[in-house]
Amino acid sequence: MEQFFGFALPGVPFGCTYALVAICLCLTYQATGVFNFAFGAQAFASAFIFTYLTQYQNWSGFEAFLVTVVVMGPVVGWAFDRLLFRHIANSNTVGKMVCSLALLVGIPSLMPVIFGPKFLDATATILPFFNPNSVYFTLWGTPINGIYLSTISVTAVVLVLLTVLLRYTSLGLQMRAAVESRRLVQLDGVNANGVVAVAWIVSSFMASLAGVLLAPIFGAFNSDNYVTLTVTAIAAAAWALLRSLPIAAAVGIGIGVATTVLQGYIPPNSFWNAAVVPSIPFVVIVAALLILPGMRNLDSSRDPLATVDPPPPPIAAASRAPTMDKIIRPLWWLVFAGFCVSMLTWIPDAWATVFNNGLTLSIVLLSITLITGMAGQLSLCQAMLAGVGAFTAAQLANHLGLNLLIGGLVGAALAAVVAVILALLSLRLRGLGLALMTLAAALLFDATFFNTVSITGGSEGLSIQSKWLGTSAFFNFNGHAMFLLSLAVLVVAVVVVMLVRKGTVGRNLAAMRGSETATAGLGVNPTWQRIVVFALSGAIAGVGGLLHSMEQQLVSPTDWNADFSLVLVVLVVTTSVTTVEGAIQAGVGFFVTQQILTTVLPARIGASSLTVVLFAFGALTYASHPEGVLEYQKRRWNQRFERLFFNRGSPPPEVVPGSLTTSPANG
Amino acid sequence: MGVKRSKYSDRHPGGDAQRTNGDRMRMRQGFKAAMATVFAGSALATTIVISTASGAGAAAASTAPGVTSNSITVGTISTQTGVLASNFGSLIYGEKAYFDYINAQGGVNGRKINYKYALDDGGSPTTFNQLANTLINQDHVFAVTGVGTAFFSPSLFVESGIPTYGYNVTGNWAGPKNLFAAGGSVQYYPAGAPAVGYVSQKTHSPSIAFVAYNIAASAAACQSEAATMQAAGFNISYSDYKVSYPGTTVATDVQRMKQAGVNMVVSCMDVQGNITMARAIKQYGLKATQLWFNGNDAKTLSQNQSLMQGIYFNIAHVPFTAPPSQFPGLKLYVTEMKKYEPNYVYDEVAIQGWESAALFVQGVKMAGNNLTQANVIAADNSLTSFTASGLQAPVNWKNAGHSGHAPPYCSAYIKVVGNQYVATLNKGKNVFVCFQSTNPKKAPVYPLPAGTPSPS
Repeated sequence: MEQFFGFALPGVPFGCTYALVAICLCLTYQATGVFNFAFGAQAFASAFIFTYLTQYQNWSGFEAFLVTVVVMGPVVGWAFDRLLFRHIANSNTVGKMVCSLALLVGIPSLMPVIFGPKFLDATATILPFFNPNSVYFTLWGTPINGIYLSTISVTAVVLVLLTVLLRYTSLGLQMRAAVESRRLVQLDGVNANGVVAVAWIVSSFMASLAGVLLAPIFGAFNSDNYVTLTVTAIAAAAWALLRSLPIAAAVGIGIGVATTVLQGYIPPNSFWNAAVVPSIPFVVIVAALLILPGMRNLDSSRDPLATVDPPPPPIAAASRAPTMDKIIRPLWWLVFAGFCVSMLTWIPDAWATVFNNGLTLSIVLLSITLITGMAGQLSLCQAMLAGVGAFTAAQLANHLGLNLLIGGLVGAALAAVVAVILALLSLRLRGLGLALMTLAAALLFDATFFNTVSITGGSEGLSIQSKWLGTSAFFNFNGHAMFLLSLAVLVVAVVVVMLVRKGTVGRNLAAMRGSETATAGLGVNPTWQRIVVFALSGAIAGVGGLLHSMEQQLVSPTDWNADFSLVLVVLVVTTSVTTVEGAIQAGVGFFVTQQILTTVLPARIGASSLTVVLFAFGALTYASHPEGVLEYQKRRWNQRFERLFFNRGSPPPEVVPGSLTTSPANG
Repeated sequence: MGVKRSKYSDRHPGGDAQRTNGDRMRMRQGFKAAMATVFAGSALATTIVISTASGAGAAAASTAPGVTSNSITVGTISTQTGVLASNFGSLIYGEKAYFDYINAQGGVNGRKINYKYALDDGGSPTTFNQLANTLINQDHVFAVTGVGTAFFSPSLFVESGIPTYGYNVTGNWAGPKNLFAAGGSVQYYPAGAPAVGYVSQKTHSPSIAFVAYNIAASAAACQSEAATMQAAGFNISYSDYKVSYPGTTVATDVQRMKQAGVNMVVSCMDVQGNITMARAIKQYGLKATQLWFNGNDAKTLSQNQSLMQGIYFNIAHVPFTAPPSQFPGLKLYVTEMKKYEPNYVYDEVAIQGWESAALFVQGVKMAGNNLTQANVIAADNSLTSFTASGLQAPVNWKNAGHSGHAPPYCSAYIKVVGNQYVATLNKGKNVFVCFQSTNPKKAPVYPLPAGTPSPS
């Protein structure tokens, strides 16, 4: 028994921080209807600044705590509500999720941009009387140090206070009512916006608190740890159906304890230790999604005054005046031909690499166009599917001598199979549920297959060798084979996506977005449509993944981890998730932006971080412009040109999703 | 009030035939737009590309890329932000300090080193590849004097034949003659076994545990050393080569070490994992000698002094606390790095940058007036005992630096005493201990092999 508790107790501090963030998720979801993926990022930012102040500015832990947790946490929460989430309160689930994902991706990248490269070792604690290096007493042979005492005591206090707030105060009642129907609460004379703002302030305070508490446990500043924190908290919140704070806290602590207990009992060098232990949170999420009926109905609106999303606006290219079309179409072809000729003649190698990177990433992004743009669902595992394709091809080439390109087709097929399995597992899931399922799958692959040296070469990846292509000339950087290959595959992928959109599957998907039940009533099998679109999406991602890795001459799990899946969504959502050109603009635009920033910015700012931040800010507009910023602007400019040169009269009204009114700018 | 229909809605549903035509047209338009977009996103960059190309023409006017009559332009790529920044970030500090020192002396053969590019890959393989292309094909640097990343992909560097220097953590530096990793391009892990065995014997700690991350470089180092020692008859009583980064759950390992009767712990983890493990070892009351390969820097010690007491380190350079008057190479390094405090620190990673820069400058010096990339590479490859002016264990670039391995295997030991790292387990005033074999049972050799930095 002593051994069991010896293994179990070290999991308690982790469990407490999971519990805190799980409570944040429940509280925000209860009060605002927003599932805020960004809590992990908020925790990371607070911990980062807290440690920066204590380590570089020589502040005391308490002073830094006051600034980062007591002041910054609530201010950030208030800002999130006032500047962002209040304006999308009636948006659909995907819109809200995209905004919080953009914050999750953008905030950690913003830190090095603001503070420059900093090497932080988190050693300070917020409670100076609890020293991590001091043992206060021993429990079942386990030394209880300051980390245990600070996390446990803070979690207990927070849990009690919040439970009292929500259950026994009028503010708590108003918070719970606001999520049912903000407008209904307002009709009752309650300042619903104020109530929701309080929820954001409280939950952001707690996220900051969790981050600062966790910092000395992790020691190193690694935003991945905070993504794991978020996902584990999601698992706990899921079992609480995003409602019950005590259950969320208990499951969070339980996951922390289960992790260290299993780690203690499973032999250290066994496959199971490496595979099972990191997988626990993801298994818990998947189990909740599959077992709990409440998790499958999260997106069902309970608001009697809820609105209905209008159909998405037509793509800009389709709504142009025919006269203008006659001018633009040949112009585009000319530009395209010019680009191809340039790539094959004068563009320097450094920029050829940039464009090749962009083209190959565009293929992966097209897979998101299929799922999100056409099916209206959010998949957070597209990088994982790309990685499956790339690693499969590399391993087949390495071990069986199969040509890398043929292996790529096998890899694409395997990625499609994985995608279909996911589709089958999530048949009854929509919106948030599907997003969580795909995120769990991506993190599960990160922790298991992608972390297995024999499959992926470990974190260093597998170097792609030219002999795998049966030639040594292919990787000549002065050659153009990579460009031609990428372009050819991209064209094929574009054609496939457009055929799907035009064909029966595309029409059925469009109908399903409106009403799945009604579509089924027309004799359409929604399950089959879903499987088809997932399979195609997986295959396209798999092929794109291989080509992108070929351009790097390296297949690395770092390139295809869950974090990058989130970045991919943010990229394509920023430009346009509904059009194929949106995917290409996102892919090429990402690398071109990064290259330009690398060229013009001082090194300390970090061009790659800033690029992600820029796209993340772009993605924040998704809720108001689900067609994407570029697509929205294209349509506006089309209309302006038509008014100016073709006398087409006033433009059609802009429809703001989630409302029944037109936007002031255009209405 | 409702949504007004657009007067341009002829492509919206309104009849089957109409819908089909509209959609077909949309598809054609979309396809063309998609193809054109390939360039649309890049049109903005065209101007930059053109200006870049013209810049390239200007550089090509000199005899070698990046070289003018009074300067040599170089650059680095390292991970300065992101998850792995703490493992690579200070490489550029060592580089800059050395180049500043050389430039203050008037440069090399009349040319100053223009350390123009210190690029950050953010811990991304894709970004690294893109930046490598930028440095070589756009910026046309003469040499890449510092590579510090977990994602070093050598193909482009080998293909271009550019002199490349850096910090070897990936094991893929070995082979090509233009790749120079500080301390030697070959990672021959069994050579570490005698160093571990020596500590075990000197501290009378026969029951040994090895702990490493579930990361190839970390696990391979510990596994190889453990296997070599086990073959030599040492008692490897516990091992865990699958610790999840950053080692936050090593408390369970420590409990099992205690059960296994371990009295020496060898860690192939990074500083954070080591600190977490040291805390657990101390608080669980495990009496064990600890040997680390990472964590030898003043900042880490100042923050974790109580946890690090008595911990041994095995390092490949002259200890920072050795008497500077007796080791001029160390004196120079510490003096130059101190100029940049508190922003710059001298640690295990910064010294990799310093050594890389020193090897590059040595090659440039030897190339003389006929400064080409090939000549610098040839000059560096003629060195038989490079020590960065007496700072590091000698590297024989002529015979074993790029491929294979050859004794002697030299390293230094330090131990934490109070707030200092103190040289230990050495003989007399020597700081290095050298072995002529990978057999961990064999005793070190004295006098030290020729070329090994010794007290003057």
